[in-house]
Amino acid sequence: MTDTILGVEHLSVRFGASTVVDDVSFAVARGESFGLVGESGSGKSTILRTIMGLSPDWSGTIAVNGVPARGTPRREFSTQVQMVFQDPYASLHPRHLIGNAIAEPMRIHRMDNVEARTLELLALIGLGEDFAYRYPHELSGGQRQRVAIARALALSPKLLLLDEPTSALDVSIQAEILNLLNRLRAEMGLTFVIVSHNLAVISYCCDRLMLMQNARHVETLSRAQLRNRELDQDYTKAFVAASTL
Amino acid sequence: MSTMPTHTIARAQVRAAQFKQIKSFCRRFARNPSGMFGFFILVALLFCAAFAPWLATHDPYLPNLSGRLSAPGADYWLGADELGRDIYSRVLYGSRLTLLIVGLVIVTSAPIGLLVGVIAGNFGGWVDTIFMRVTDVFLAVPKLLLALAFVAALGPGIVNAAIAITLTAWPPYARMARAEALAVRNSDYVNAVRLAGASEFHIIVQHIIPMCISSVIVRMTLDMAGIILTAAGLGFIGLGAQPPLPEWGAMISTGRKFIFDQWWVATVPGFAIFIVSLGFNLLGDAIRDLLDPHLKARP
Repeated sequence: MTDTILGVEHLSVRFGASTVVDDVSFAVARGESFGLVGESGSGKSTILRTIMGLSPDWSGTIAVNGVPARGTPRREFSTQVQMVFQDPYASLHPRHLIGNAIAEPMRIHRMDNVEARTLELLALIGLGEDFAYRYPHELSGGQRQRVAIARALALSPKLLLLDEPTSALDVSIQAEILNLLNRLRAEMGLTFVIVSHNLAVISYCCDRLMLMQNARHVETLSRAQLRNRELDQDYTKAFVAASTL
Repeated sequence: MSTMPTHTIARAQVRAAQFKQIKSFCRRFARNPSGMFGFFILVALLFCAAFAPWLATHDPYLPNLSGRLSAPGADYWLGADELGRDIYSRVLYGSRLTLLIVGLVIVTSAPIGLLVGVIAGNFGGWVDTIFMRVTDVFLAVPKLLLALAFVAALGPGIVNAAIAITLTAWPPYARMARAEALAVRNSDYVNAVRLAGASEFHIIVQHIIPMCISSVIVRMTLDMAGIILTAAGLGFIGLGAQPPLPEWGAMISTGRKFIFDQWWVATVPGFAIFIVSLGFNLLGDAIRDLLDPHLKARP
């Protein structure tokens, strides 16, 4: 593969006795948008959390931009990859102003011009400057998710992991967020890994996708293959049929 | 240089946003009549303590043997005690001692409990085990008994009484803060800053403690009544403030001997304790209605 930004090889994750991700390997090319699809409990979100170092017990190798996930200090790793969480209502601190939430990663990394960068990021996600001085409870779900995206972009990572970025939002807001994400990817040369159980979202946003079932890899498809129904595995056919794309 | 003006504007706007939060809190508080009543009692207590020398009619320490045990009247508004000291003036000065003890206990026990609980909850593992077992040991001993033992060891006195009460008052805060920290430490917003490379110290100070503060404040105001009663109890058995200090519990203790013939000697300080405890309880209830995160979830 040419210019891999995320390489995952033989990844297994265990929660106690149960194996949640079982020997999964995949690679994501720079600038690509990669989808992880599967039913609930198939281990797709766990893969993202493991890449970010939120699962304690895993084996295999993960490398982002050539930096190994195991053994790299989180502070250093954090400039390579950031994550946007599923629930916008739970991902912002209820007692912190929006501006502080976005500025905080930059303050932790002691960057310069934090205030100015915060306002730039707000403009980038399409919110006005006055949003910096509001509390999360004054914002709608879609606005909060935009803020979460801005916070993830604050450290200018090259890779962004999105865990069901739209599943908590209603349909019209979903489209808004997806368009925002597509625009940001084009403007900033980002690479996305998007987890979703919604094939419509994946086929709209992703160049390639990987289907998972019961902690295992089932099939990797390109967008064209998905749209032309060139499916090899029975489970893929059943999954796509059930989604009534 | 050019960033300086935007910087100061941002600070002012942040302060305005925070001020708005406080204002909305005050407005909601003002709608609660019993809470306002409690608040007025607290304000009255603070006023009495601050202006005791001007409000008092007599010197609280000066005996007047000709006026021993006078009934309430024009000269002694609330009567005089067994040495002829004006009870009204002594109760006023006693409010200072009460506030001193409550203040000392709250200022020490709440932060200690908060820190122990938050550290235990955030780190888990053996840190959690050690901290919480120590907390359990303190919780296992009856409060007043433990305070008695400490005062007996340290010697009687106001500050020692406050230290003794502190030693018995912090464990509930630790329990509560730990429970809050456990709930918050793996939430998405804490994970998000963790992923940004924040140190655990930063997470505790900036993210976990602000989420515990409201529960701690609620617990603090509700605890104050209990602290006043414990302090008065220690004074009553002679282990708190020493004579001639006009501590309310000690005053009740001396009035006990005359309770059938000169009822006012014990009743007036008792009534003061009752009013102030009631005020703190009402205030605590009102603040809990506004701040308790578990009540907020309900519509």
